Amino acid sequence: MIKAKGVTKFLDGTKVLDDVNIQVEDGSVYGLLGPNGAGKTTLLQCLSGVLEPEQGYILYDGEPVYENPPVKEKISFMPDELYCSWQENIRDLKELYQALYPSFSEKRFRSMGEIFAFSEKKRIRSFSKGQKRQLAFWLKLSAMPQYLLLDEPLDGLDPVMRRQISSILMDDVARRGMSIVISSHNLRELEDLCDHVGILNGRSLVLEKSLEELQGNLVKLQVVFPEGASLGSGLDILHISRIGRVYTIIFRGTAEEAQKKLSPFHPIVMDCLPLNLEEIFIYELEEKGYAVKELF
Amino acid sequence: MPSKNSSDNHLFSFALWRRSSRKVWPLWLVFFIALLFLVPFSLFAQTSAIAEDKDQVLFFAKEFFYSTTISSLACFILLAAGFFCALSQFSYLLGSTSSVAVHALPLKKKTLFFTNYLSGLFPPLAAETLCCLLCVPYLLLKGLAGSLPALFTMLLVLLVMTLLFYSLAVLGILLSGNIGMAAFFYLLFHFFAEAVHILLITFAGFFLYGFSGSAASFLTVFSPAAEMLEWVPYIEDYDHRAFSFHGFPLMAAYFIAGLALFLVSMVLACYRKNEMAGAALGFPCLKPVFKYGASFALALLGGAFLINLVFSAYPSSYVPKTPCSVLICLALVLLPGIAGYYAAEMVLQKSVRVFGYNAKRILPVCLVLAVGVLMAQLDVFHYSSRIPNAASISSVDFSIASPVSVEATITDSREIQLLRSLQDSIMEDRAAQGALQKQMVHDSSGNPPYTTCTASFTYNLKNGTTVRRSYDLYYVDSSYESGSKSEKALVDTLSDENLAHTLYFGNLSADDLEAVDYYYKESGDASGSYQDYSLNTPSQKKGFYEALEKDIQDGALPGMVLQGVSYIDANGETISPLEEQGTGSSDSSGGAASPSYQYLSIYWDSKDTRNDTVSLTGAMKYTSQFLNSRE
Repeated sequence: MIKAKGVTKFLDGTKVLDDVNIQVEDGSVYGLLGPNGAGKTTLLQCLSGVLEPEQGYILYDGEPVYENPPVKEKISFMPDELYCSWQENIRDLKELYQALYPSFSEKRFRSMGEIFAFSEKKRIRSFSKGQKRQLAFWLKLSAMPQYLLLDEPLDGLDPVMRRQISSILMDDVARRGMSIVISSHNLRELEDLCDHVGILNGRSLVLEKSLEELQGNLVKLQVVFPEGASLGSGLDILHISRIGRVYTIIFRGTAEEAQKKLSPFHPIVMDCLPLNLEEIFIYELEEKGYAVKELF
Repeated sequence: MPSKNSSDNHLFSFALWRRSSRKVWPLWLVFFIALLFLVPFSLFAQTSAIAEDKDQVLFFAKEFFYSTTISSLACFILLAAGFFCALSQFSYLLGSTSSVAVHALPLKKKTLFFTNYLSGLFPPLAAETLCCLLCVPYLLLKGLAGSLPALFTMLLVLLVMTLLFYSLAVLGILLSGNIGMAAFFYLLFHFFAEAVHILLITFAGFFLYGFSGSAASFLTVFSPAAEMLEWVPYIEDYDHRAFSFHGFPLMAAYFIAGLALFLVSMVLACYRKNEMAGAALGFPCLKPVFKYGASFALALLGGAFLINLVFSAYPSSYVPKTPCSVLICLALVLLPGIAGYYAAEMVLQKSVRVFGYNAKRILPVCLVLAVGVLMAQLDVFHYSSRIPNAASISSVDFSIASPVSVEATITDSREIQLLRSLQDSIMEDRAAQGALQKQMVHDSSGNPPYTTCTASFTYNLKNGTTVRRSYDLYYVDSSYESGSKSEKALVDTLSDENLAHTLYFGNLSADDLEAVDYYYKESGDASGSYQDYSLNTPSQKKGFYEALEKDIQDGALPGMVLQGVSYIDANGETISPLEEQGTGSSDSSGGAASPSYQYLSIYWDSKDTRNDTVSLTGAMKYTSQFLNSRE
């Protein structure tokens, strides 16, 4: 289990993370969401033991991660860019990972090699962005980590490879109980992978819930009211938009509660629609003041 | 919070070593090839070209190892190798992507540092050792085994300097977050002491009349690259083809310094925050040091340049003491000081839009500079006006350089008083000297009549301290007859019979005389003649000594009868005889016909083990007469 408590981090004198608390259970996939500059990458770097928080602590099964190689051996962190020196090839990196990660599996490396089909002698500097990304997955997953930290992991991958990697990840979670913390702006993909979500905004974690809980806590209704009807205040509406006489209303609460609140206005039509993660993200942050602004 | 797991305390990671070594081999190859050309190939080629004389080849081989190799290209190659080897291993600290990737690996920072440090240091050390070992069979086959100590001394120097340069480069990279600053720090470490010294003496020289900055010549020790270039004096005795290496204590000191730098770097590496990759400085606490350091350095350097431009003043000369000039000086120092502060801020912020950003923080710089300039200009600590009390002086090292050259330690109280009076006159003449200097600077006649002379006083006080002052004096007329106060005082002082005797002969007497090398030029004789005289009998010694004394009493500065004197002491320090200066002057006393220019080397016997040589240059009327009469 990963437990981050009161994590506060300053970069160049600026507070980037402020009292962040997250908890990732074993065998779960935690989606880290947030607008640009919210501190997702910094949090992942703290979780991977690269950065040391100024306040708070991060524990893996009760052990701190910073400057603690035995804990780091159980973690694979995949930053948004793969680093290698100009003359290294896949074999060189594999040898390094093999030596540094005791759980590195040669069998896994070989089997994944059939999927990626790169020559081990090929210089990495000649790889495209997508190929480097595939190589990173190949190496990191061959290390058989107990915890996998991914920062924008699927960027640059083609749709087939995305699906392939997603399937490997889910397989590892299911079979080995691997935990994943994944940060991405592609919420559609996260929706398929995550079971827990945390939203970072303005340096702090503004929301942390299971996906199920999150989806059950908001409801989207499409409603048509009789002519001349107007909605009063006190309805706890998160978002409302209107096209003609059709209103789209987002409520906090359950569908029953929402329908009950609207029934006094005698809606002609009232449909309850499913909310996807992107909508949840947008509406939750809209409430925190991060919303699409109309310029014209 | 639970305590950290400390189970993994390995200092060395073989996996990382293998990876790091793979990165550095191209660099190793370049370094090895450069050393191959510098040491074995060069030795083979040059010794093969020498004639069969085995002694000559052996001499050459020793000379090659002791001086040529170490002090020439090796210094530059080692400078470059130190930096690039360090860069190849620690460049991950300079980019955020690489820093994150490397620090995410399950390795402690100290393991990362130690392994990378060794990976970068080993290749140049191996290349140097290999290149030197390649010379061994060649030297043995050629029968030059006598040069092996020189070869291994050279190897020792190369190894130690590599350790030091590499450690300096590693420290430079750790203190910075980008390659430009790392290179800047590396060069700064090499020349920091010298640079600060030059800055301070340049600056102080403008304000403190009599300021002498030459006392800190030992500072080159703190500039290892410069010190390495200076190591030509391995060659002790060309005549006897003997060499000895005096650098072992220095090598030991540099070795210890290299190890100390390694340890300091290791501690820094452990405490350096990983997020500092890419920043100008690796440690935020260094920011004020960097900003204020740049500000003061530029204030001193730029201020000195601007003051020179405005007042046409050179060090140890005159900047007028008026309120207006104080303000101008202050402005001329503040301007570059403020520019330096903002330049440093631009480097740190990576932006030119720094004006107005924390502008209040420049105030301490302005304040310190203002106080410094005012204190210097107003001579708050009485530096310029200080002449030590006669009772507190145990001796005075007095020297005059150009055109008269004398140097002696004066212990007689009357003579010390004469020197104090001379210094007093020089200080009183300061304004006139400043005006004269300006005249000289602005003289565009192309054939200026000006002459300069440097007078230095080092007072050794009874409390163990020293007071050192040095003055550049300017005279309109090279005959020293224009009559300024300092000129007159100088001529009077040097004309004092006892003082002149002390200055020229110290405590040597007629009995100490052994031989005279006498070089003279007749008028119109371009080549001159040279003769040796042995002074065998007491009467010969006495006669020559008296003639010499008469010349000195008759001479001194007026008419430049005597142009100089120098000694070579038993330690071989100094003091080469004066070169010919100009064409010499005619005999101003109008006495008997004498050569227009003469040069004497007088060898004293070794009764007092000093085996001194005195060289005198000038129109030596009485000694000429004495020596000619012996012919």
